[in-house]
Amino acid sequence: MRIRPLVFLCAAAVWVALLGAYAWRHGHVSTDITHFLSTLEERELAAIALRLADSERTRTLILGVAAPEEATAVAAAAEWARELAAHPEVAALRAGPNPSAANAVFDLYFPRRLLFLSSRPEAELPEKLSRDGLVDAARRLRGELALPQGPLIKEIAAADPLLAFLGQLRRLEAARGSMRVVKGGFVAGDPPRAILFLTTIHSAFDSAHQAPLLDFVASSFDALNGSHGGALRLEQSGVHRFAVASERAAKRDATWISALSMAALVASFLWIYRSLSALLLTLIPLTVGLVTATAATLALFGGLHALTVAFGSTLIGVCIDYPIHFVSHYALRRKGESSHAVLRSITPALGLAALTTVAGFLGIASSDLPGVREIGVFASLGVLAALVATVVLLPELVPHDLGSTRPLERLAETLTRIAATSPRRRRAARAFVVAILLLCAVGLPQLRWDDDVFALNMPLESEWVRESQALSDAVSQVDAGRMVIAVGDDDEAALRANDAVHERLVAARAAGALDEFRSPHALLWSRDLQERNWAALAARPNLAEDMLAVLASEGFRREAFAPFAEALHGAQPQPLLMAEIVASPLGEAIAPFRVEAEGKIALLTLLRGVRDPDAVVAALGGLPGVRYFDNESFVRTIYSRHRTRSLWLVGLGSVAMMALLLLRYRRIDRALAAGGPAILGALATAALIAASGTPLNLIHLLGLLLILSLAADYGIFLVESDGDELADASSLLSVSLAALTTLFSFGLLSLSSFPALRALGVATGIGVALSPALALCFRILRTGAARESSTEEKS
Amino acid sequence: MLESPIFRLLAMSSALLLSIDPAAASDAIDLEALVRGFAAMPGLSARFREEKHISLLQVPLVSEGVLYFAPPDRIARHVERPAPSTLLVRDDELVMGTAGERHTLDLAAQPVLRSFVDAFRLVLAGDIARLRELYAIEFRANDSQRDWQIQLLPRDEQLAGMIRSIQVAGRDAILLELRVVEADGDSTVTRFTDVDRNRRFSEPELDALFRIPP
Repeated sequence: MRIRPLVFLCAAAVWVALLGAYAWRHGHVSTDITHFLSTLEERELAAIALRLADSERTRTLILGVAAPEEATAVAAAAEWARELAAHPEVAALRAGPNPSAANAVFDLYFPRRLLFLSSRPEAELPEKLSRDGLVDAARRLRGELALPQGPLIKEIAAADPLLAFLGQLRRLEAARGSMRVVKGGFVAGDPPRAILFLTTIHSAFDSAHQAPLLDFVASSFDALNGSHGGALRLEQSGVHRFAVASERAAKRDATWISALSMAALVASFLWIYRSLSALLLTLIPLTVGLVTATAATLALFGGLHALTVAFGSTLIGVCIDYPIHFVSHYALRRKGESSHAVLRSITPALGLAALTTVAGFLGIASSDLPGVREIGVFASLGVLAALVATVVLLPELVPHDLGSTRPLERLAETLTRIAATSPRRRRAARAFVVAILLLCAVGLPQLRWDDDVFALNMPLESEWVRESQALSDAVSQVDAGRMVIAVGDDDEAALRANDAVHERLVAARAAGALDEFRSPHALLWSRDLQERNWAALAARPNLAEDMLAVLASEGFRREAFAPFAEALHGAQPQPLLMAEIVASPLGEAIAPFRVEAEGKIALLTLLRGVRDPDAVVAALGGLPGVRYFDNESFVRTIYSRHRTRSLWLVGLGSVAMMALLLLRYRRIDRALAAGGPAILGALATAALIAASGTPLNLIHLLGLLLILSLAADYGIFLVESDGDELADASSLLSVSLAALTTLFSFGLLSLSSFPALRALGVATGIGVALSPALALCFRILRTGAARESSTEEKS
Repeated sequence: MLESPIFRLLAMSSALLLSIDPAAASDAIDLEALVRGFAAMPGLSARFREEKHISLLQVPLVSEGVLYFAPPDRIARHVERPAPSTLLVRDDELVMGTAGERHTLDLAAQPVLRSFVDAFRLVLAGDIARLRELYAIEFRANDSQRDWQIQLLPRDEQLAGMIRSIQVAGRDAILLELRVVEADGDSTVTRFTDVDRNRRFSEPELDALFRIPP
């Protein structure tokens, strides 16, 4: 092997290795969606939503074990729980209530019972503590003593004739939802199933850890069921298996599509060039572009978003045009022409192609959203690096024996014949362009955007969805993703906001805006509200004496209630604080309601049966730090805004591209021949998808941007080689090969069952089929017009 | 998860134990024969009048209602006066409720309360051996061998800390009175009338009677 290519190859390898090592060392790939949000409020909400997505609540898989007999189900679930708990991915497994929680309830609340009298002390307590109110309380106490729970009441009545502690117990019991406890195990639903709460160590979306766990869940349940004669039935609720199934499907599709794509590429290059080295050459600039873009973006932004990697890498795919253009020209070079001479002849075309692409991406790079800006910078840097790699490396590395082959010549001849300017060809070209314009006229008005980001994922297994929903309903009885968020700088501020939320939601529920809600208010009130309760008691003169007198008049023994009088005459109890609850056995009860994000505390009130979201929003109106949050509509709104902004930026990029072409050619017809196919190709793609009745989404838009960049290259290559017959043939060849390569690498994605991959495949597939044809038509029309003009001038 | 420990004190809600109905009395009545008779019952219903003597109150609290037992483990106690309420026991689940409220307890998680409920269930099941494990039993009959009394003294210290004794009294095959004396001296006395120890429940009756009324 010659030394010089080896040196260049080594240099490229060192470059890639160094930058790759830098990226590996400093590479922090973030999934923080706030990167793509503009307002502070959005960022706060998104940060909370993100924390929720990785919260204990989301990491908890609910398993329901049903059996003909409830007791059998409970026993089987308890047996299974012991086995599941031993799995290394299981952080916690709860099959029944925490036995120490009962004592904690008494210890935490009974001494502070008088701080939990009323959630509206100023409004309610004056009446409750009036003489009539005290008489009512005494009668209520008597009634409670007669009930089956009388022995409980008897034990607390002496210190709590107002039954404040009982009120707190009832709030806690209501917060538990519809679950029952049977033989120490949770049971829910009708028909009843034993319930296990399995919390995983890693995120529910981390399929590398969740897939083995789910396999273990399935196999261990099968074994359990076998030992019970097949009488058990398993139900699951949680995002784990949806995430795992979705990733498995995406990987399955990506694997077979990649294999098919690679096979098609290898076959094409072997057929046309009789050489695999040509294919390997084309991959070098792509690799250099990707690694350089990753390292440079990391250095510039200090991190990299997962979406940047996904979208940016796709956009860098456009760079495959450059090595193909070079290889095609080199293969059809004149006898004795060196690789550097070939490169020199196409450098203007390559440079302009790269510049127009970067101009298009710069529109995105100028976005005020950090995430979008990062994608633009990543793609621009990648394109420039790939261009440099093409210019510097390929002339050195291209095999000297790479030359014309029979299929190559035949293909070039065919393409040249097709591209020949004749009146018939011009009529056909004109007819094709008119047809495309008509397609745009018909299709574009039908264009609809679908901003349902969830539709980009795999369609969920409907049986799983039903099962998951039914089990979730039976256990938690809240709507997934709908909540009210009370945010504060600390727990006290958040609790104050949450107190207000509770009061407003009680009213909204009474007005029929929603069916039910579960709030941390059942567990804890703000220090402020607790102290206001005490203040209201203190403001009532002679309360203890009046209460004792009333009790005596209602048939109670006055002296038995001395503990109540002592409590009232004593010092105010220390309010119950969040830290105390979190550290107690009740910590697991309040944890799902509390999120720390962006240095703030958010308390969540989970909603069920929201009939009128607007009414709920109106009910919460004016409460600082409080927001109604619907995860689905929130994500859809962000996605829609991002799509709209991206569309605008793509339009801006197209204008920049056309300006650059005008600057280069200083003639409208040449600029139009170079840039027109790109713009018309992208519009026609959108029109065709719209005309087929399919709404477009953000992934389609990404495909359109890719088409714009690719098709601009095609137009530029053809315009730049105009006037040189051999160069013309080479450019026609490179455009066809580049389109074929894109069709194989992106267009085949349209076969995927994964909606996001399919959308990208459909858009690029249609675009790369239309764009070369349009570039050819524009070339025929432009050269035909030039010849006519030249003939007229001569005559 | 959120049960209060003091719900265990519900154990002293002695009314649920009131429905013991001795089986066929023999001329020479004894404990074994009595509980064998209970075990053979197809079902039981009785009206009751309960008096709760509580130190907090100057006069006892009185309530009246009807009690049902369906073997092997279902009990329903419906209070009609002064305010309607219901207590249901089935297997390890104890449910208390009124028309507006419902509270459920898992007896498996409340061993003390379960021991108390078992006092009644073991008598009805004729499981004297298990009953002796939980309670010291004293059986007394009068000279005529018609009037009898079973006294149960808890062996478990925790239960003994709440209940001093449970006394069941009757004549021949009929249960007449249940008295529960709490550790603090408060007591509940329940007297039974209209005892039907051959009560058979149809399925619709089981559904209607052994639930919290709407």
